[in-house]
Amino acid sequence: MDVKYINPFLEAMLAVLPSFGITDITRGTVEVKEDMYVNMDITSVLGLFGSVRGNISYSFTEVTGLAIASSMIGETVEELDEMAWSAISELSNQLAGRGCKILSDNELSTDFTTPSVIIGKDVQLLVSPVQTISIDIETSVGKIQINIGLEI
Amino acid sequence: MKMDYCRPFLDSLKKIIVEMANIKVKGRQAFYPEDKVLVSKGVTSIITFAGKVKGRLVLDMEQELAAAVAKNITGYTFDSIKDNQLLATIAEFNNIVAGDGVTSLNNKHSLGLNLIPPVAFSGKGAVICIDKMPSASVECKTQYGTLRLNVAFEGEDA
Amino acid sequence: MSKKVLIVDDSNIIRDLLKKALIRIGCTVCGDARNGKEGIEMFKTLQPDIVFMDISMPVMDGVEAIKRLKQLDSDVTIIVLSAVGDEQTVERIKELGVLAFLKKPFDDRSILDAISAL
Repeated sequence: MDVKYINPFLEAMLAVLPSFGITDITRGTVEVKEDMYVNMDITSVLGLFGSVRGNISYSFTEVTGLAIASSMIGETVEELDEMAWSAISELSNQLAGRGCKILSDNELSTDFTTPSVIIGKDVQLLVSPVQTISIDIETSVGKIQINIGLEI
Repeated sequence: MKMDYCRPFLDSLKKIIVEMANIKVKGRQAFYPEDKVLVSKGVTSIITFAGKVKGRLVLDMEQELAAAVAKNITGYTFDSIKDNQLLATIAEFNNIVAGDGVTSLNNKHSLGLNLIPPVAFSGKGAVICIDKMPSASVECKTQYGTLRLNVAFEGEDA
Repeated sequence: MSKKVLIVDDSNIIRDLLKKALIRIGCTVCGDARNGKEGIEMFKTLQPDIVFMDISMPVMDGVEAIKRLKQLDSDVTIIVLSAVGDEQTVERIKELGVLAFLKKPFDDRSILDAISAL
């Protein structure tokens, strides 16, 4: 998969996360997988269509998810209630939205569908049966794993 | 929610689960407005589609039913509902059901919808939360357990 | 009906089901590819009588693959299998010069009917 499809979503992290008080953003391991499985506590998945077609997902541990929700809402969120998942949904919406905007600015017009947030302690998720790029992003609130599976 | 946009998916499901998995949906079904949060019955697949409007189809099955669907489609018995082939089979099944529903909608309402590849997961009690999209569900009974079909649309025309 | 068939589909479940169905109706499956690009490479070496082609695939989709196959061999016989098959889509695909358009799911009968049009 060409980096020109991946980099916009990484740039989006750098642009969007600081506005919610999340700092120290560094890229960790990058992995290419034939099938993509995630088993973290929270995953927000969005469909991508237009010049690219596929799915992007953002996964967090519960601790990181709560920290992000707290940071976005401006008060301590202690459980994964509607307020928490709504905040995570909104964050992933903005991350994917910014990524698609950058792709579109590069003449790869791309749009996305409303996020579905999946929460569960023991969830095995197949994001995409297509080749997927998995990137760990380290932040001040913990790891965010991005999985991008595209048909191009 | 336009019921005109939901029913084709139920029709497609009832037809295709017989054709592909030789499983019948029993009785009558009625759509009801769904909450923002769905609690997974065991194995769930989500597929989104987009054209003039955007939408989403969720097929959510009890474990035994998912195992039966996967076995009847592929001919293989899966040891675990976390097996990647089982999840891929359920995802492909959803892809075909959604494809059939989208085909009817495109023919009837010229929506120009195209499918985005499906995702699937297993984990009883997992919750799926969807903001900003009203949705409707229907419960389908089969001999192997129940299945919930959930349809959502966003965009002005929905 | 001992035709040599190449399958091009990104879903291993569909490849497997289609392979079994083709064997049941007496065809020989000479290869199966996961995307259009692989399909074209296999077509060159295997020289099948019929190509079963999916539309939505990674790397290279079915539409592009059909165009390239037609350039390689204008007489190539292609049968399209796709999940979405509304009138507009079918028309768009048929204009590319394919023998038949089958909507998934398929059964032995629909495959036989498509092949018998040869």
